[in-house]
Amino acid sequence: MDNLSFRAEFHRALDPLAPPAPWLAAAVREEQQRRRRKMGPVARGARRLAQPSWLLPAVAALLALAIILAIVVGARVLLLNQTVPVKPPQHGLAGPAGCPGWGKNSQRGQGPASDRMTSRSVGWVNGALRTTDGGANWQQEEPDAMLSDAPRGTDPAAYPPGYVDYFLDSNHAWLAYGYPSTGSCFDHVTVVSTSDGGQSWRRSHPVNAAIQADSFLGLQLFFIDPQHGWLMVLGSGRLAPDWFVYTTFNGGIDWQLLQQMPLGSSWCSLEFISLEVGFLGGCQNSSGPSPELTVTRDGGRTWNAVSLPALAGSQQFTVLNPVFFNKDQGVIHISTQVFHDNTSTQSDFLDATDDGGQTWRALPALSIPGYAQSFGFTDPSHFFVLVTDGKGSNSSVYRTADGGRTWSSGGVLPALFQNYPAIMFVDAQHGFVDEPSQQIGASPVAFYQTNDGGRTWKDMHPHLS
Amino acid sequence: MVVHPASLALVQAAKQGDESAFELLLEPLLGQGYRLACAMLHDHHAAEDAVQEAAFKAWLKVSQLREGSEMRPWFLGIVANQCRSARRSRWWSVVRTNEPEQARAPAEDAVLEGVELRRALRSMDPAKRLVLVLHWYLDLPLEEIAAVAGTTVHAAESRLLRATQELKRRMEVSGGQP
Repeated sequence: MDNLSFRAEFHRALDPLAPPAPWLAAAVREEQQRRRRKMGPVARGARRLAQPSWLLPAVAALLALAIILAIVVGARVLLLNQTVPVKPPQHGLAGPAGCPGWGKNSQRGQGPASDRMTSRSVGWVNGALRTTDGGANWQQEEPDAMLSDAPRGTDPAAYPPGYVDYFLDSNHAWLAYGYPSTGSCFDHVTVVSTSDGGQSWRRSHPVNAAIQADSFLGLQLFFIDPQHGWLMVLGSGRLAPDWFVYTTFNGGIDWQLLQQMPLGSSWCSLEFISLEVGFLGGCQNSSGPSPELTVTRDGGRTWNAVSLPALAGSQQFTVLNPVFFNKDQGVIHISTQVFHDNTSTQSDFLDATDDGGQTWRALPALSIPGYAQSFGFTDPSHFFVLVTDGKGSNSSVYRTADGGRTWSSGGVLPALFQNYPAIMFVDAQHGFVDEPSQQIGASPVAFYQTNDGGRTWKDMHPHLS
Repeated sequence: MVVHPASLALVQAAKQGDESAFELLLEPLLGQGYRLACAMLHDHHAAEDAVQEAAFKAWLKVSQLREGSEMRPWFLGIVANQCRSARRSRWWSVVRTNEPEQARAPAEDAVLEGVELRRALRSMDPAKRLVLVLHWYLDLPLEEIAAVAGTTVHAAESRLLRATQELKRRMEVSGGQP
C-alpha cells in the first residue's frame, strides 16, 4: 500500500471517531470565559506577574525536602508502633448480607429480549455480544469497567444484578445495572454506553435510583436516537414495588427523574416513537374486558391507558411491544389465553394504527396452524410470524405481503426450540431466527439466516469467538 | 521551523494577557486538537473534554511558550498530555486498550470501515500511536511531530518509521490490509 492509500486508510478509520463538532469553538470560548471569570482579576493578574527565575526550583527543593522528612518520620513511627491500622484497599462492594449477587442468569424470562440484528451482518445479543458476520461468530464487547465494579472473587463471566442492555444500531449500545452501598443492595444505577460498536465505553454519572429495593432490581432501557433515551427502574423489597422513569438528553451520561409510576410488579418495556409519544408494551398478565396499552404523550411525565379492540371470549391477554414503521403507522401483537378445565389455548391477534397509536383497529384473524412464537415486522405490508403447533413439530414461518390480510406458508426451521425464539427481518428478504441462551453473555443456542424472505434457512452454528 | 511574523505578534500579545489574541491563536487549532484527541481516546465526548481542558491549560501556560516556538505543536502537545491523563482516569472514561486482536469478517456497514486499523492502532503504545496519528492523520511535518512528542526530529522520524512498520504488521496479523 503506498503512502497516499495508507493516509486515506487512516482517514477512513479515524474520521468516524471524530464526528463534526461545529459548535466546539463557541463552546470552548464560552467555557474559557466562564473559567477566567471564576479565577477573578486577582488570579489573572497574578498569572501575568513576572516570577523570579529562582522561585520555582526553590519551591520544588523545599517540597522535596518536606516529602523526604515526612517519609523518614513516618517510617520511624511505623517501625516503633507496629499496631498502626492500615485500611485495606476497597474493590467492588457486595452490599449488605442477603443482597442478590453477580450471576449469569438472564432477566429475559421476565421481559422482552434485547437481541437485535441491525443490518444483514451486524447484530447484538444480551450481554453485549456482537456479530459482524450474520450470526456465526459472536464477540464479547462488554466494558472492562463493569468488571471493575464486581466484588472481589466474582466470576469474570458474571454480570451485575439488574443487568440490562439496549442496542440502537450497529454502533450505539447501552448497558445498565445496579450497584450497592454498604447499607443498600441497589444504591445507584450505572449506564455505560458505546458509540463505536463496543470498542470504547463511557460511564454515566451515578443515577440515584431513589429506591429501597433489597430483593429485586428490574431495569429497562430505550433510546430513540444516540442522544435521547429513557430508563425505567423497578425496585421491590421493603417498600411496595414502583417504577421510576428517567430520561437522558446527552446519550446516557446524565439522567433526570421524570415520574414514579405505581405499576405493581408488572414487567413492561418502553417503546418511544418520538420525544413525546411512547408506549409501555410487553406488560404481562393484563386482564379486563379489553386489552389496554399504556401511552404517554409528554415524553414520559404522564401515562394513560388506551383501549385496544375487544377480543371475544378471552380471559387473559398479554399486550406485546408495539412496532412503529413511522410516526403514524404501527402494529401490535396481543396474545390471549382461554382456559378450559385444566388446560388453556393461546390465540394471537394483531391490531394496527394509522394515527400514532391514538386509535387501533383489529387486523383480520390470523390464519396460521398453531400459535405464534414471535412476530417480525419490516414495513406496513410485510409481516412474518414463527409458528409452532405446540406438539413437538418444528417451527415454521408464515408471511404476509398485504399488511396481514392474507398469510402464506414460508419455510420450516430445521430445529425444535426449547427457549423463546425471536424472528427478526432487516428487510422483506433478509431475516434471522434467534433462539437466545438463558444465560447472559452466551452466544445464541441456535441462529438461522434467510436471504429469500423466509423460504429457506441456513444454520449459522453460532459460537463465542 | 517557520514562524510567521503575524503569529509571532499574536503570541507576544497573548503572553501579555490579551485574551482576544489568545483566542485568535487557539481557535484555528481546536479542530486539529479535537481530531487528535478523538484518535487517541476513541471517544468523542472524552475528546471534547480533553480539548476544553487543554485550552484552559494553554491559557494558563501561554506565558511559558518559548520565544520562536509555534503555537500549533505547543497546543497539540498539551492536548496529547491531556489525553494521557484522561486515559489514566478510567473510572470515568473507559477505553479498552488491551483487547485481544481477533479477526473480524469484513463488515458491510460503512462505519465499520477501517476497523482493523483502529484496532491495531488502539493496541499500540501511546507514544507510537501519537506519532502515527500526527503524521498519517493530521499530516504534520516532522519538526512539529517532534515538538508535540517532546523529542528531536531524528528521534521522531525513527519512532514514526518503527511505529508504521509495527502498525502494518499488526493489521496483517488481524486480517486487515497492511
